[in-house]
Amino acid sequence: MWIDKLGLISHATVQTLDMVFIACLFAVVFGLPLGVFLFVTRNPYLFKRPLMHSVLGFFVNMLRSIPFIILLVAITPFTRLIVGTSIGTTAAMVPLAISAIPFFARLVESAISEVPVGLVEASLAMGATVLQIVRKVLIPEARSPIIKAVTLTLITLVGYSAMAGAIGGGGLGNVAIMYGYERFEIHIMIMTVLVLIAMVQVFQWLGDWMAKII
Amino acid sequence: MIKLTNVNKIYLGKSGHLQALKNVNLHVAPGEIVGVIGKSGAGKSTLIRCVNLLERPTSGSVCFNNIELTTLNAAQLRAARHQIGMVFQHFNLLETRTVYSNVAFPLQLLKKSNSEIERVVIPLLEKVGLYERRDAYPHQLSGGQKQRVAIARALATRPQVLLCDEMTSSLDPETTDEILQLIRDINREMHLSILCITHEMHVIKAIADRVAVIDHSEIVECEKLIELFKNPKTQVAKKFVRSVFKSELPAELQLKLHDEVMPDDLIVLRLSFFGHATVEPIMNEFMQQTHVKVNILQATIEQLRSEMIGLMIIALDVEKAKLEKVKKFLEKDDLTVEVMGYVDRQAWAN
Repeated sequence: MWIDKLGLISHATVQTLDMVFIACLFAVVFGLPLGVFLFVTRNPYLFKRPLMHSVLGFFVNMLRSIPFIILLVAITPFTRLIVGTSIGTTAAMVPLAISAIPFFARLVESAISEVPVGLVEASLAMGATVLQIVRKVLIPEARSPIIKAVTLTLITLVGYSAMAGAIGGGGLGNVAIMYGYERFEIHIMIMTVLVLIAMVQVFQWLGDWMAKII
Repeated sequence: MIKLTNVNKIYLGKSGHLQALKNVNLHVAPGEIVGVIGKSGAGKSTLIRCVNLLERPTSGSVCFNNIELTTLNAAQLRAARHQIGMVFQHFNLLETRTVYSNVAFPLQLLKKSNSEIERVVIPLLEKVGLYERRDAYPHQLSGGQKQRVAIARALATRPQVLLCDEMTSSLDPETTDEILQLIRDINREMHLSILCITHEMHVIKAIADRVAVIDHSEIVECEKLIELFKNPKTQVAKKFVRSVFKSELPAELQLKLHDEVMPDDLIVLRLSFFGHATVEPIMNEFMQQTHVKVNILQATIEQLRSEMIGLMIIALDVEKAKLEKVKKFLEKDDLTVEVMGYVDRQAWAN
């Protein structure tokens, strides 16, 4: 009996980690360039394109202003198009990634805005190209806040994944709803919450540690 | 080497426009150190940034090695910038790179091989005295050491020109002198042209061959260093010279001077002397040969980059009629005499 429940929880934990990490991977792969692009298009030294910046900024803000639970439902056709299904952990990854990309992009943009403008100036004076400045100056110099942005994105995704679980996305959120809420199995609810707390703590701790040593 | 012709820079803002540079003409000859001095807000920073086009002039021409920079495309401009090193007030080092890696940075931009980079970086670190600290990070260094790294970095691409933007303004006086010495050495050894902007006359005095004084967006004077000290024409220039070279009497004494000579007055003269005259016993000879009584009110001597300049204010007990004779005796190529005024013998004492 207990073994079953432990198996249930550990299976759900793996599903949650799976969703969160894959979505976060997409967030980094697409969000990092997007964030950098948002920054360079508003920096007069680099690639100032006010119109492009505004249009892009508008879309990013728009995506960020849609509550996740609504986004989840609203993009169901798109999700089905991409992964062929609209239920299960794989399907949950799509809206998770979609919401995490603009979130992470804004965090990256603000992280690299903190790089002193003098460094950009010095690099330009040394004859660096915009791409070289991005790759060799902005991202390396902002790597610590970028790591922190990844941590924050992961933690936010843990919360969102529980929401996704509520409408058939699998993972800990699903277990908490199905067993804890609908079947009144309070101890399962408590266990999932404990696992979630532990997960967030570990992410935060790992993120802080990496931001420090890097 | 560098030639700015009729450079204007106007910033357009919401509340009207601001002219940061007005008809600026300036050139730096090969191997020459030119200092630009001005108060904050005078346009110095904009001026130096116009040389490597970090700021684009609104109009005018910027020539480097007879190439007009303002018409180059992006790639050509980058190539020119590799020939123009720059150091900054706040050093602008990459905090996540070591000393070695910071100096290697401009060479990495040029995609040089590691062995090639090492061949350039190691001697440069030795030159600036930071070879032992090559694996340190900028936050572990003092301000002076950081500026040395920045200088080494600026020299890594073997530029022909070095631009210095207030490079000693955030350093203490002792470190400032060390950095200035380093700049002089580099200038001599590498025959590098240097354009240096600052608000400190101390810096100009120590390194400049020529000085441009910038005030309210305009270059109001551009002279050899010694000429500026001998004869500053504008109020700003006078103020800057006086900040390191006291050429006035204390205010209270100054007030007692008058322009019209009265009987029984003392004559107050200012002697400025240069070069050879600074090591001659002029006063001694003067007194022995003319038997005029001399009261020395003030005397100072200052080492400029390559020459000495001295100044003495004296009161002479001599009739006005003999003044021309006295002047003739004293005045030589390297000594100029200027009458500051006359003072009543009695008033002087009180």
